[in-house]
Order: sequence, then C-alpha cells, then structure tokens
Amino acid sequence: MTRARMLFVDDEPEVLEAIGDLLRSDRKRWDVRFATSGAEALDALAREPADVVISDMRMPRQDGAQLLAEVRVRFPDVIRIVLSGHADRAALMRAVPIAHQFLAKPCDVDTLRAVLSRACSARALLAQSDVRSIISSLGGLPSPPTMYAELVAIAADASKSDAEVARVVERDPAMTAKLLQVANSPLFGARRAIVSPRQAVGLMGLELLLTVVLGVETFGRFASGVDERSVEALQRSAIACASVAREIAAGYHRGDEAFTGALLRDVGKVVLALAHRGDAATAVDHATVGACLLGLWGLPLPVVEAVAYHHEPGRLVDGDRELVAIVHAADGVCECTDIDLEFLAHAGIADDRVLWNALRDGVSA
Amino acid sequence: MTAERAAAIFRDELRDIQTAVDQSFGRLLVLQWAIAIAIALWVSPYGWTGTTSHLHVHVWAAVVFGAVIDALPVYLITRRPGWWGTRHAIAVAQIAWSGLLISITGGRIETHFHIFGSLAFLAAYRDNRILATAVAAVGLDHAVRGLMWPESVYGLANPEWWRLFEHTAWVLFEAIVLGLGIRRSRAEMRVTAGREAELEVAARSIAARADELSASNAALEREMKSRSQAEAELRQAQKLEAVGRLASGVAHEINTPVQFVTDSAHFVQQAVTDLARVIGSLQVVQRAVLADAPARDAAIAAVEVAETADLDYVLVRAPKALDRMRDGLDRVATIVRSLKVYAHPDSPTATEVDLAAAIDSTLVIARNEYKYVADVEVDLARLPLVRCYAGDLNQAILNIVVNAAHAIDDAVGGTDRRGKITVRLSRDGDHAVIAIADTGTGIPEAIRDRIFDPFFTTKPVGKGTGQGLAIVRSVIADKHHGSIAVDTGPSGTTFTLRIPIEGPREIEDAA
Repeated sequence: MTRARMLFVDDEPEVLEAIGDLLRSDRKRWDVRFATSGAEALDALAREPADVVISDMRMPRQDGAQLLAEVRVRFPDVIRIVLSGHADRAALMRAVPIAHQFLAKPCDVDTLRAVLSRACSARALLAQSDVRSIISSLGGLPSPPTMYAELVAIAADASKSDAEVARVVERDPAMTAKLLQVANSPLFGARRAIVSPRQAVGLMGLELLLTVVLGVETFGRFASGVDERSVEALQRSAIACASVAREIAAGYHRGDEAFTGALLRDVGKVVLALAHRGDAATAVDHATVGACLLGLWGLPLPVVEAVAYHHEPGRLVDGDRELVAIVHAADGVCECTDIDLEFLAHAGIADDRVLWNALRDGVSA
Repeated sequence: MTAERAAAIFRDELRDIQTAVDQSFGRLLVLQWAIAIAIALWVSPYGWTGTTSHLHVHVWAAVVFGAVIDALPVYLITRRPGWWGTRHAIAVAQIAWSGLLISITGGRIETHFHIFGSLAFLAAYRDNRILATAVAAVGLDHAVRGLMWPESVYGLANPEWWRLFEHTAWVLFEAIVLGLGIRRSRAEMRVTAGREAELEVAARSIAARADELSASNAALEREMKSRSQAEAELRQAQKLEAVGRLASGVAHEINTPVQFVTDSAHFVQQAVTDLARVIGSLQVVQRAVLADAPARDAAIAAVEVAETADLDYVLVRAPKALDRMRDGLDRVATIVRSLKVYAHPDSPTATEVDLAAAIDSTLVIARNEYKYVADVEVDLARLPLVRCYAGDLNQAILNIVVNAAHAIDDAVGGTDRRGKITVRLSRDGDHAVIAIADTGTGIPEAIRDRIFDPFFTTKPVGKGTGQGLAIVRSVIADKHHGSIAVDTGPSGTTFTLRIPIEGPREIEDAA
C-alpha cells in the first residue's frame, strides 16, 4: 500500500517541526512534507504531487487562501485543509470556498489525526481513475456551478451583506422560484409566506441557502443533456429527502449538514445519466461519482462522505459516522429501502421507527 | 410697514385724547346746566325787569333747555366716547349753551366770551371739523335768534344788521387761529407717531434677532454636545476595536506556540513511553549479562524494540522538542506579560513608568500586525522613569505602529520585499523622545494637515474609524503636554513624540 502524501505549509518552522515529530509514528502510512511559504509549497507540489495539503492562513506574501485557491486550480483532486490561528468568522468564511475542512489552532492531536485520516479516504474517493474519467468526460467539470461559486465568494467577503446574496439569486427567475418553493415548505416553518430571496436568506441562513442553490444548479445544469422529467423528479426527491434528513438530524444538532448531504446524495445519478445517456451497465455507483464531484467542488468532507456512503454506510472507514448514518436513514425512509440498523447503532443514531414512519407518510402524501 | 404703524399710533393717540376731552366736556355740560339754573335763579330777574326777584320764566328755560341740550351729548359720551358723532354733538351742545347762557343773562356782551372759551376748549379735540361745526352753529344761532329775539343775542332790541357778521367774523377769526394751532399740533403728533413706530419696528427686529440668536445658540450647544458625545463614543469604539483586533492578533500569537508546544508534548510523551520500552528491553540484556547468562537473544530483541521505537530519531529530536516547548512557553509568557504591561489600568493620575519596557510590550502586542510585512528595530536608551499615563501612552504608540504596518503593507504587500519599523527612545533635556519610523508609502501631501482630525481616515469602511491619530494627539498634546512632529516623504514616515519626563504640569493646570 502506498503512503498518503501530505504537505504542511506554515510560516512558523516550529509548528512544522512539531507536527513532523508528532506524525513520525505515522510514518508507515503517511509521508509528511513541509513548506514554509506558499511559493515553496507550489514548488513541492510541482515536483511531487500530494494527496492532502494543510495550510496556515496568514503567511507573509502569498497567504493560505491564495495558496489553496491556486492548488484548487492546478491540483483539483488534492484535499485542502486550513489549519489557522485565526479562528474568527471572517477567517472561516474566507476559507470556505477553498478548503474542504477548517481547523483552528491549537488543534488537538487526536482531531488532527482523525481529519488527516479521513482526508486520505476522501482523497482515495476522488482519485479513483474510472470515476474521474466519467466526471471529466462531461466537460466543463469539475468547476462548481456559477451561481454557487459567486455566492460562496460573496459569503466569504465580510464586507458584503445578505442583501447582495439575495440580489444574485434574484437575477435568475427559475432559481428564485425554486428557492421560494423550498423556503415555503413546512420544513422551515415560516409563519408568513416567503416571497423574496432576501426573506429566504433570513429564514434559512446563508449556508443552507448556498446548499439549495448548489443542489438546484447541479440538477438543473444537466437538464439539457437528459430527460427533463427525470431531472425534475430527482430534484423533487432531493428536496423531500433533505427535509426528512433535517428532521432526523434535529435531535443531533446536525440539521444543516444533513440537509446538504441528503439534498445532494443523488447528484451522481445526473452525472451518470449524462455520461452514459441512460446506459445502466457501469462499474461505478452514483454515490461514489456524486461524492467525487462534490469533493472536487470543495464541499466539506462530512458531506462528501455522507453522499459517498448513503447506500452502504458500512463501507465508511474513517469519517463522520453520525452524519453518514443520518443521511443513510433519510434515504432509506424516502426510498423505502432497508436501513442498516447496526451501523446506526454504531454511529449513535437512535432507531426511531415512529418518527421515520411519520416522515415516510409525509413524503408519500 | 412703518408708515402704516405710524398712522395707527397717530389714530390711537388722537382717539385717546378725544375720548379724554369727551369726558371733560361731559362734566362741563352738566356743570353748565347747574350754573345756568343758578344764574337764572339769581341773575335773570334783575336782568330783565329791574329790582323784583321771583321765579322767572328763565329759570324754567334754564332747567328745560339745559336738559334738552345736555341729553344727547351726555348720552353719547357715556355710550360712545371717542366717536366722531359724539364730539360734533358736543360742539353743537356747547354752542347751544353759549346761546342759552347769553340768553338768560339778557344778551350780556361779556357772556359772549363763553363762545370763545368753548371754541378754545373744543380745539382740544384737535379736529378742525369740530371747529367748523361750532362756527356754523354760532352763525346759525346768531342768525335765527338775532332775527327772532335780538335782545337774547345782543342785549338790544334793534341791533345793527351787521352785528351778526361782526360776531361771526370774530368767531371765525378765533377758529382760524385755533385751526392753525391744531394743524401744527397734528403734524407734531404725526412726527412723534412716526418716531414711535420706527422705534417699535427697531425694537421688534432687535427682539427677533435676539430670539434668533438664542435659538441658534441653543442649536449650536446641542450640536456641540451631540458631537462631543459622538466623538466620545467613537473614541470608545476605537478603543474596543483596537482591543478586538489586538485580541484576535494576540490569540493568533498565542495559538501558534500552543499548537507546537502541544504537538511536541505529545511527541515527548510518546518518546518517553518508547524510551521506557527500550530501557526495559536493555535491562533484560543487562540482567542476563550480569548473571553471565546468554544475552544474545535479549540483545536482538532490544535492537528490535529500539528500531520500532525509532530510537535514533527520538534521541536526536526529543531534546529539540523540549527546547521548542520551552521556547513556545516563553513566547506565551512574554505575550501575557506584555498584555499586563500594555493594558496598564487607567489611573486618574500619572505614574512613573519605564518607557522602554512599555514600548517593548506594545511591540509584542502589535507583532501580529506587522510581522508579515516588516521587521522591527528598536534602539531604546536608558531613561529615568517618566511620569505619564501608561495605558494611554501605550495606545498612542500602538496606533502609530499599526499605521506604520499598514503603510508598509501598502508599499510592499504582495511582493517579496519587507519593510522596516524603527522605534527609538532617547532623551532631549527634560523630555523623553519616542521616534517611530516606517518605510511605508508616506502620507500624501494633500492630507497631511488632516491626519490628526477625528474621523479622518483613508482606510476602507470597517478597517479604521479615523480616531487612531486623533487619539495620539489627544494623549500626547492634551494629556501629557507634549508635542508631535511628523516627517513624511515617499520613502516613509517618522512620528516623533516628545513628552516631559517630569510628567504633565498638573499643578499649573489646577491653578
């Protein structure tokens, strides 16, 4: 088995030395390298690619955000992680568009190891050559959808307001309609009718709105390539399942992530439909393809995992069991398929048949 | 405006005079009645038939005609004093009285003086039309009675025909003289009224101006109050903003060493465990050797343990990790110590402060602001303790250092170059001098006069409140009675702060 290659970037050599010492005991599975500046890091990547890049945010000259943005363009399948001493909201929002995961210094050793290990799994997902070839065959990919990218950039800019997010959404009537439809669903329990994207942002929160935009755009993007009705059906099912996942996750305070994971869980179906024009004979499943696509787009690792394993949660090696279990359960509820109760128990998610049945009735109604 | 007012004043004054004259005539008319009755009682009988005295027809005439004459004017005086009709009625009544009195005195020529007296009195109305009415009444009275009862007018049974004209001419003559006087008097009244009106208008405009002034004064006071309040709030906001930015910078400065100290501690912990295992395996070898037993297997096992434990690496790296931990903890301790010095609690009086230590601490606190773009060089002379407000002074120094860092960032940001901030502390006589120089962009000529103005800022919204240098000026100049010099050019800016070593002149201030 080849060792996963990691590149740590930090302008403080002590931080790098300490991590080197710390991860010395993992030398059998991980090959750890270091760079003290963005330029050095890009040189190192050019010489020998890495699987995971972990960068500080504030550095002289090229800072972490600039570095990772360039890594995303030049090495899209590398997992990007921020390890920053600045843990305020502004730093976080700046990291969202360019990093799969945000870690704040000081980060405890166990968390660091766990994140690195899951990054390697995700990387394995992204690096599957057959999956990658399917995705690249679509052309235009793997760049994320345009409106989503624009909104993420606005969200990352502390000087921009929710109103500007709303303005971007309003430019697209189809998106506005879809967004309002989601916002007015019982899921969000709005007391008054939501009639504008501005209100929708206030009700749903920026993160969730981004997810909905991503989902709608992703499904809509392929509508020209495949049967429009099936895309419409997929979209409807995605929103229904997202609502169910949010309900199940409510008790575990994972509502937003669960919503995102469930909404995007079948993105792979669209990719496959487009790539094969309905050809069912394929070695790769839609879950993996979807997860790979989302990973390339830089969605958070837990969401990528939830999508990858929503049919077979047992295959998850390292990662966020809780979220995978919730999305799996939501998928089972919506599709009336078997739910892996053993995995749920393992993940600490209760076997709540009463709730599930109620939700299932709600979906079919 | 003034003319109208003058006319009104003239009218009012005339009316007041005329009303007063009406009242006087009211009393006179009643008095005349009483006199007429008295004359009729005592004088008339002799006037007419010689020496016998008895109730004469004249008495009845005095009572009845007097009542008739007085009735209308007295009624009008009580009901409508000051009205033009009232005084015309009075004029006619007064002339009628003359006639009656002349008549009951038997046409005595002396009683004719009553007419002249009446005219003079009527002139008090200052109305020529009243005189005209009176003259007309006299003429009419003379004409009618002269024809019908000449004795009651002239005291003669057959007066000459021109007597009427002679009498009337004299009356007219007096009326004309009085009329001229009235004209002059009215003219004078008009002039006075005009002056009064002018005075009034002037007084009113002065009052209005005074009102305006006091209103604008109040507005100004309110404005100044709200402005100083806003300034105080902004100053507080700047303080909080500075604290917030510092907190995030300091957090980063602390988080980084905490990160590598924690990682190193884990490594050392693992190393100690591994070393214990290696030592354990070596002890097995040791015991075998000491017991002269075969030790080869144990030694091979020990080598394996050492390899697993990565002994060579651990032996080289563990001491370094410990050094790193100590360095990291030193860094944290320095920052915490500096925070304590920097955030010197605000004291109401100046305290003696080691400026070099204060500057050092402030630079540690601000490190996160400049370390990515600039190196700092310090040259701090040994100075006696300086009496100052340490917290405020530190903030002033910090504000300048942060500005220096931003100016350097503007100059070298995005390039490989780094700037330099030089901080010098020296003594000049009885002043401490702090010079902070940067190699930044310098201050553009156009804004040099305004950099110390509150609210003036070139930084984007959210990055600066424009209070930084305003606070520097307030702290150095106002609070410490020191001075600030700015030397700026395209290759950088130097701020030179001078404060008295003995501290601000508090005693003089109090005096």
